[in-house]
Formats: sequence, C-alpha cells, structure tokens
Amino acid sequence: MDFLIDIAITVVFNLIVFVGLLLIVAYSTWFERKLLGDFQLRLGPMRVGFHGLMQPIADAIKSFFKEDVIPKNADTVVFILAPMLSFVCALGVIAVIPFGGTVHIFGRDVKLILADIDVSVLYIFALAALGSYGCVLGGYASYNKYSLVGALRASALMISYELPFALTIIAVVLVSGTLSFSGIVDAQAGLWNIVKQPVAFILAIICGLAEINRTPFDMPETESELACGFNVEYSSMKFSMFFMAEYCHLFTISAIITTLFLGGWHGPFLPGPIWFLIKSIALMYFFIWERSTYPRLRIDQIMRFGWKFLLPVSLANLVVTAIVMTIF
Amino acid sequence: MLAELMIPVIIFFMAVFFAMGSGVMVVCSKNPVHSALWMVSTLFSTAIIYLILQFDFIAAIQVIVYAGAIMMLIVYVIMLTSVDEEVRRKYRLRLYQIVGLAFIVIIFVELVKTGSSHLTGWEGLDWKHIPETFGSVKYIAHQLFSKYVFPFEVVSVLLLAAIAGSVVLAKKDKKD
Repeated sequence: MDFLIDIAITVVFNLIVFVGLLLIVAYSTWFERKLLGDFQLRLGPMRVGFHGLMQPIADAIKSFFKEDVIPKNADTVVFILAPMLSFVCALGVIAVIPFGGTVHIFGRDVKLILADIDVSVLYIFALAALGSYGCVLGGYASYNKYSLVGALRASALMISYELPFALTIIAVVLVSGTLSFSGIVDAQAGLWNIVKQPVAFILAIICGLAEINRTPFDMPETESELACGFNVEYSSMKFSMFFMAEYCHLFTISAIITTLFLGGWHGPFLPGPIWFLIKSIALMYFFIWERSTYPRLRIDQIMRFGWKFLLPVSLANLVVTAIVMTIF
Repeated sequence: MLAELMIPVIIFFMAVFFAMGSGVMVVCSKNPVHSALWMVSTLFSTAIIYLILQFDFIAAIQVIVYAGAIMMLIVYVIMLTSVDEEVRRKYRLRLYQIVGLAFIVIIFVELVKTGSSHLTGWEGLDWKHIPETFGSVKYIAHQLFSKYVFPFEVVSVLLLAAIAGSVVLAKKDKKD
C-alpha cells in the first residue's frame, strides 16, 4: 500500500511538472511575440483573447489541422522520428532541475525535483547530445539542400559550443564540489555562483545561446540564406514539435543557468518554486531582449569565435578556478 | 515489495533486448544512416544497462562520448559523402561466410559457458568487499587519478598522437 501511494505521488507530481512545462512552453511563444512587438514599437498579438492571451491555443489548433506533408524522396521513418527526438530530449532536461525545497505531503517528504541524481550535469549534456540528432536527422531526412546545409551547420555549431560550455560548467562544479544540481543549489545558499564565477556566467550565457540555436547563433535556421534551414520541409504537427522543442530549450537553458549561477530556488520571503520561476523568466526576458538587439553572425565568424575565443577563455577560467581552489 | 524488485529486472531485460535487436539492425539495414542510428540505439540501451547496475557516471559518459560525439561525427561524414543505399546482392554462400558463422557459434557457446559458470558462482561472490560508493563519480575519479594514473596518462598521450597524426594527414594535400 505504501508503495502504491509512493507511485501515485510520483505520477501526479510528474504530471503537474510536465503540464506546467508545456504551459510555459506555449506561453513563452506569446511572451516572445509580445516582447518583440514591444521592442519594435508595435503591439504584437492582440486579436485572440485579452491582449492575445489565447494566441498559443489558437496556434496549436491551427497546426493540428494543417496538412501534413512528407516529401516524396524523404527518408520517411527518420523524417517522423527527428521532431520527436528533438522534443523529448528538450522536455527531459526538466527532470533534474530542482525548483523548490522539500514539501510534506501524506506523511512523506517530497523533494521538488523529479529525479535527484548524482550526475545531473552530465545528464543534461547527454540529453543535449541526443537532442542535436533531432536537428541533424531532420535536415538529412528532408532530402532538401537547404535543410541539409542547415543540419550540417547545426551539428558543427553544437559540437563546437558544447566544449566551452562543458568546461565552463566544470568550473562551477569545482566551486560547488558536486555534480548534482540539488547539491549545487545547496552550495549557493550563502553566496550565488554568479559572484564566485562571473566569467563563467557570461560564458555560460553565450554558449547556452549557441546550444539552443538562438540569435546571434541561429545558424541552423537562417531565414535569409537557408529559407528556414533544417525544418524547411516540415509542416503541421511535426513543425510544431520542432518549434515547441525550441521554446522548451529556451526555458530549460534559463532554468539551468538559474540553477548553476543564480542560486536556484533560494530566495527570501517567497516560496522556492516562485523564486525559481521569477529568475528563469527574467533570464528568458534577457534572451528575447538580446534577440531583438543583435544581428546574426556568419557561420565562419561563429566557428572562429567558438574555437579561438570561447574555448581558451573557458579553459583559462577553469585553470584559474582550479588553482584558486587548491591554494585556499 | 515484489513490484519494487521486479521493475529494474523488467527494464534490464527490455534494455538487453533493445541493445541486441539494434545491434542486429546495425548490420542488417541497407541505408548507412539507418545503420548509424541503430548504433546510437545500441549505445543508448547499453547506457540503460549501466544505469541499472548503478553506474550513473559511466552511463552518462557512454551517451555523451559515444552517442553524442563519435556517432554524430560518423553521421556527419555519411551525410557529407552521400552514400547511397546498398544494392541487394544475389545471395551466395561463400567460404569465408561459413568460416565466420562457425566462429560466431564457437564464441557464442564459450560465452554462454563462462557466463553460466559465473552465474552459478553468484552466491559465493564476496559482496562485502565491494565498497558502497562503487560506481559513483568520486570513487571512479579517485581510482583513476591514484591507482590507475599511469595508464590514464599513457592513453592521453596516445590520443594526442592520434590527433597530431590526423592533423598531419589532413595538411599533406595543401603542399602540392
């Protein structure tokens, strides 16, 4: 019986988190369109609901009823598999992110984290590695030159920026002394990592932007030169899945940076999950703001920047951190 | 209580089934990209087996290094060279195929024999000498940088030699 209650709590908790995540994903599209409108001195979506609040739901219904086209020469199985892979890997990241302390329900202490594992940092890198297959395979399977070039750029970008990102996060791990996210959050209870590791914070934001393919690193889907890149042949729900994966990444990268540098769910007065959401949404705001400010870089500039600037700087940051940690 | 014990066993056998099935599909599928994808599936299932054996670290590294980096490069190369689907040949039994089959049978029988002998010696295994932190990141790091530090460094020099060699090979054409 106890076991059944445990399972029931786990299932309900998982459902709440995933429904919440999907809602955030849906409304982050609205958030982005509203903010971009604001930055460009227009209103953004206004027609559906109060200030366009029902727009994400209208968009979802629209994409359900669109015609689903699969190109004649496409690799059908891989073509269908790619958006699923992208979306599942984007969703899975939320499992290891702590968004609150411990809650007491039904005589049990429930930690507000889906899976409190030892190697959460490695887990997100593993998921990122698998998720990049979605992009690459989608581009390959479409049998389209534009999407193939988009896919190749995507994989080049992800491989080049995963390295400095990992080195940056290792510096944070060194400071906190653990690979688990809940451990890292607990280590920041007194002083946030952004104070201890300011360089790493900036590097993590840059590499994070590249990992989730956002401006100025949105190489895989440059509208002006690749006609939308790897997802050019996708339509209907399959396109929506890529789209949702992208916005899910936007939220999860904000959540990861919040967890690693901004003290996670710690904060005065308000409960943990609220603080977590405030910090993550503030970071999302920053990412959208930055998108409307900067133009897109060229692919060779991105590669040069990644290998010749970010990698040495993140290595230097790691070495300095290690030396300081050993001396003190 | 029983269900608690059964779930890892069920997941274990599913992972084994997927690992072996995708292993077979790597060889059988005609499209090289599909082969590579089945390979990723094999590596992923192996990572799940590691997870069930409590090797969290090894499982994550398996996915990051093999599925994430190495297979990604292989897929990349296949996509760039645009290898077409293999044409189905007329099937004819060759001598080397018979020899290969015989070897497979011999290896399989030997594997089953050693495997089952280890399984029967299961009770005699000394569980107390396995440290509690076995498989954790700290344990592996400690072993790697104290007991096995020499082999570790030798391997890194070997990898460096491989990188230098590939750079030299790639640069060769530019002189001409």
